[in-house]
Amino acid sequence: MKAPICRHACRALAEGALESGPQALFFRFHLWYCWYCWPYKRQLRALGDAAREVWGPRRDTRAVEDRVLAQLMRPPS
Amino acid sequence: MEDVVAAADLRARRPEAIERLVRENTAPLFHAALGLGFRESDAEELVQDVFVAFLEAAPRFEGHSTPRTFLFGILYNKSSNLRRRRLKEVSEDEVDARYDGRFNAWGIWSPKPPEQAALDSELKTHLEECAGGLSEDQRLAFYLREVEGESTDSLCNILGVSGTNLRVILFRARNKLRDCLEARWGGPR
Repeated sequence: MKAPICRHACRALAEGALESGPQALFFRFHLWYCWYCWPYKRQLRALGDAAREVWGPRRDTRAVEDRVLAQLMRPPS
Repeated sequence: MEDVVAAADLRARRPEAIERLVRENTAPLFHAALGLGFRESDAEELVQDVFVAFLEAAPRFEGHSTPRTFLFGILYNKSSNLRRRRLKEVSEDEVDARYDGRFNAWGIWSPKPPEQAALDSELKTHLEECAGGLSEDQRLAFYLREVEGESTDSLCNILGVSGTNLRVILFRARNKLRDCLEARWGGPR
């Protein structure tokens, strides 16, 4: 069973609550060394990497921009 | 100061301000719509609706938030509406596509699944399927945080939630996806 600190630290990681706040530094330090939290941390990181791989590639949207502009600039009928 | 001037130009519907707005924001909006699971044609329709709604609301836009945040807020509302509207069509499209896909090039019934399924990468299929199980706010929050790298403040403005609520949304989104992927192929490794 994971120690309570691991549960709180992993939750803070998933919540994106490690950027700031009184406990962020404490949790970041815990996650840095904790062997038990490592698989969870690795899974969330892999999830983010997968999302960027799937949805990250940029497409050329110039044609879409032109169509949007044509619609917006159309004089009211 | 620059934001205030830009907001005034947009309220006055100056063509150059509108063009700048569209050129700078179409790509992130279009990619976000794709990230929300819409097909390209629907994503484009959604982006057009967002800009039209923005210009309609322009007289009330005072530049307190950035145009980008304002536009993403509209996208969030519009995507929920479009998804509801598309719900019936999607189910019908899926039946049609599956039915058509079971016939080979000679028009003969094939017991094999459509080839297209094999072309999609396993990861993409699983992640997109699992993302389909998220609510609209969870999906947009996850996409904007992970792919676009939006800040907490910006996400709170876009979704119209407090920081505490945003934490819950992100926690649920990440864990739903993690659980779903874990159940399907042993989880992200």
